Amino acid sequence: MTVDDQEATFQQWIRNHLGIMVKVVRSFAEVSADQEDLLQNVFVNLWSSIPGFRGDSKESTWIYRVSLQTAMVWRRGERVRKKHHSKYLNEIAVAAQSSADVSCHTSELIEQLYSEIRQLPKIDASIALMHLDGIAYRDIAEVLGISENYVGVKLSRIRKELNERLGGTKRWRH
Amino acid sequence: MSFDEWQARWQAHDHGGQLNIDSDALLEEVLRNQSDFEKRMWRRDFGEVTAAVLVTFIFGTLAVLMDQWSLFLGAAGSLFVGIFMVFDRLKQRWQRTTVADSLPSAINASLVQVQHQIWLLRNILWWYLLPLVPGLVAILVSTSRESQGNGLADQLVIAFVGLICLLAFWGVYWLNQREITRNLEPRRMELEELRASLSSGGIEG
Repeated sequence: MTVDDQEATFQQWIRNHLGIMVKVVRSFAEVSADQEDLLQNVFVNLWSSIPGFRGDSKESTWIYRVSLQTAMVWRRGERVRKKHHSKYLNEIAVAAQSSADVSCHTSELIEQLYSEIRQLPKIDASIALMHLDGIAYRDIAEVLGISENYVGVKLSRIRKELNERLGGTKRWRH
Repeated sequence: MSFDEWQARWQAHDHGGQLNIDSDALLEEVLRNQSDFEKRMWRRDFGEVTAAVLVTFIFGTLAVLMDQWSLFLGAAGSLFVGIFMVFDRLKQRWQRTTVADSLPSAINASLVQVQHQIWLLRNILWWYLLPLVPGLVAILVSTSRESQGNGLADQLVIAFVGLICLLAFWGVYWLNQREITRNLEPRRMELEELRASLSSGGIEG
């Protein structure tokens, strides 16, 4: 793969799948400075991973794998990578707030979901995140390196826990 | 609200849409970030080894010029520390994992790194401090012998220098043990819990 191909792939992935990276970052870090740090790590690891992508899995699954891998081993406060002026990341905090097109109520629900996901253990948070995105059990299992059965078992517990936390009126239907 | 409704709202929401990213600027920053990181790691390794080589060179040169056997011991101790650091860094570089590896192997790789750090700091007495002791003691003893005719004051100064060195060594040891307790051990436990979580899920392939 040439450098030009790698650059083109990277830019295409950012254009098409930025939402995945932001979801992972917001699920694993609460404070915007931490989100920015983690997102920078995700970007760098994503860049490095491109030569290893053979097309065996979907792009979105690959990006989930890289993002979650980065988030799992990331540690708050370990600013290994020097912080450059990230003018493009100033809006992470803004992204957490409602826009003109999104109702305040929906935005609050989404933020509440993020908050609950952040409280889950890391593996559970990963499963919850991917399941909310409608990713198949098989792909979740592949990303995390666990069995499909285990994904099913975990999800039952995660749904129950989130249901309890999010309140009795908001019931999960299995 | 049912799970389907939660899921529908989640999927309808544009999670990254409010970020205004210039992808060219981002790419530039990613490449710069990666390059800076590697340069910093290289500078750190180079700096540590250079310090050891420099100390070895100084002791060795003085040993030859002054024909002092104690200084040869100091040079030997520094040389040992420098060689140990070079081998250790090289070994760590070979073991570095790639990003494309699976999540369990990424966690394992991080765990191996942390466990290695713990081992290094826990054993700092053997590979860093003790090798320097023979040279240091020999220098103090030979200096003390040479200044025996000069009175008690000189002996006290030498003893004081020895005490400072001892305190410095103890300080280095204590700081490193504290680093293990405060940061490295909690990190190791966190990674082991993660690994256990994945293991209980039946790792595929």
